[in-house]
Amino acid sequence: MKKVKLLYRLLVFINILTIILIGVQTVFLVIPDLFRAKAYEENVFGSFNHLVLTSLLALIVTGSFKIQQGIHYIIKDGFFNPKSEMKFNLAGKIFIGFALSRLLYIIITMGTFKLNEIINDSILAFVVVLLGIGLLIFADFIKNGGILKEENELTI
Amino acid sequence: MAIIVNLDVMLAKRKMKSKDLAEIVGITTANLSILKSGKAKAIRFSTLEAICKALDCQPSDILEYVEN
Repeated sequence: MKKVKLLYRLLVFINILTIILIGVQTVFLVIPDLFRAKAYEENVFGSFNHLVLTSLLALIVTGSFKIQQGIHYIIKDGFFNPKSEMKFNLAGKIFIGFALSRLLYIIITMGTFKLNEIINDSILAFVVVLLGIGLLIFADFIKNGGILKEENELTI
Repeated sequence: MAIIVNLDVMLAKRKMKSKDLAEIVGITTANLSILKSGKAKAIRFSTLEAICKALDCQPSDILEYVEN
């Protein structure tokens, strides 16, 4: 449980940092771009480019927050509980959603990236897809563990 | 449920209280209640043996198969 608690604290720290980053990005990049309708001719999304990137960042923070909640319930209610299963399942779906959105973004804005950037970003997106699938499998493990735990408890 | 637990009947026949049986068998009254209510998913052979010994009966006196 010590490692789980350590991971929980680390996630809280990372999530707080990312939320601050989103706030800063919104104040200094997204809002000015929208108000001044600044034209980025080199970007497909124009003045909405930072908004799209910040939204993607917000999506991954949401997923990370769901993992944090899942770990919180593990600490509170033990390893096999339905709340954690639900949170990890949701986090997995959000991560896959993020990765697919990121891939879509790369495809749409392909012309503005260098080839090595496209390859690196695509690999990163695939890694996030794998992470999402891993979370879905982990949620399944928790579900099955819960069933086994219940059966064990109801064996007299 | 296809398997019916007739523990209540046997307890009444032997005029024994659930609490006493639980004590003899070495399980909690809560677990005995789960067994009696039919909520139990499984029963260990050791528990069944202890119950049969305490109530002086056969497993078939406690467990009964009923077709749904």
